[in-house]
Amino acid sequence: MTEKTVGNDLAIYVEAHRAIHVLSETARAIWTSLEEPLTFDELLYVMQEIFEADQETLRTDLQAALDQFVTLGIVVTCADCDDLASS
Amino acid sequence: MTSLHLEFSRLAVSVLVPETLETAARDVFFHVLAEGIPARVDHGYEVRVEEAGWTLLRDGRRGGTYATGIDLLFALEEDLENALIARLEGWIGFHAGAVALGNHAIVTLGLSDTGKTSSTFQLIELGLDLVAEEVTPVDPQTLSVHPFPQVLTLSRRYAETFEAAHTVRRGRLVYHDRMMARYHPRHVRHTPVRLHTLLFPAYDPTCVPRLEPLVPGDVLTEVLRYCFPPVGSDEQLYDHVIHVLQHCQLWRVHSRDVASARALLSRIVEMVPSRA
Repeated sequence: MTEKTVGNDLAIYVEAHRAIHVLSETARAIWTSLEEPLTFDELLYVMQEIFEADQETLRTDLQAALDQFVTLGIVVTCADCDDLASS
Repeated sequence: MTSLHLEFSRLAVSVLVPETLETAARDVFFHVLAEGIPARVDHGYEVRVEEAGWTLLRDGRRGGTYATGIDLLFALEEDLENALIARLEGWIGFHAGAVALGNHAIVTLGLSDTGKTSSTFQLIELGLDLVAEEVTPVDPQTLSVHPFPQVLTLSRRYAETFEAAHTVRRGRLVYHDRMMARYHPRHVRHTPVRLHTLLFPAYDPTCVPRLEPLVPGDVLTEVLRYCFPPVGSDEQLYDHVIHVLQHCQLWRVHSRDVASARALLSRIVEMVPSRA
């Protein structure tokens, strides 16, 4: 994966999928926060520091964004990490 | 038989046509007819009249057979587009039309039936010169838009609506059949022009006409759909497109009819410096 600056936005190029994804402001904040692995609750805490929204809304949006990241193949879950480590 | 020589950027071809088709072929390829024999010929085409119809051969190999000579010339136009696309190494091939004002190009992107060609047509009638049609080659390093001038194909309905309100002044509009009109612009550039603006036509009869300013991130993935498959790697194409998007103005043109499109495109033209 390669980060690309697109004007003021950030895009992620996924060579394996021959695809590029431009991140929204929220998605970019999540992506940047995940430079180091975090648990869901740790990430939720970070997002609460950045965005003014109630916890339930943030939780729902964050889950949706992460699900999309996983689908796009730009984030792996801890279960995937275990698989990778054992392979 | 007559041999015609056509010259585009990075592509030179010869076309051997029977005398009965020569006038029509000269008319279709008027903008790119070479006066002499080019130093290099990339492909040799030949048109044969056979019992089954009009047959096109490319480099000695048989292509399609068509009911009329005009249908064959349309197929030849498409074949030339594909031949150019195959030779774009290092350049981006946009599915787009391009026009020039001074040394600045406006490129209108879009898939078929999105208002791309009608926007190019309107811009020419507003006083700009045709640079490219259907395939627009852009050098991402220099931001030069290279010429690929062709006759514009419009829907007959659109052309009739336009002509009901305006006189066609800068080219010749020919009604081909019940569905199609062809516009032969008289003002054509044969040298590269620097890219200034990318337009994204958005026709919606119910919309409020407006120009929507865009930023590169808004349109990156959309623009990639308007690029012909790259000769190089995907990532190189993405980098080239990002570079282009960061160095030109980007507008979505929300129009609902011929008149609103003309008014919005006039505003776009006013924003382009008319001198080099």
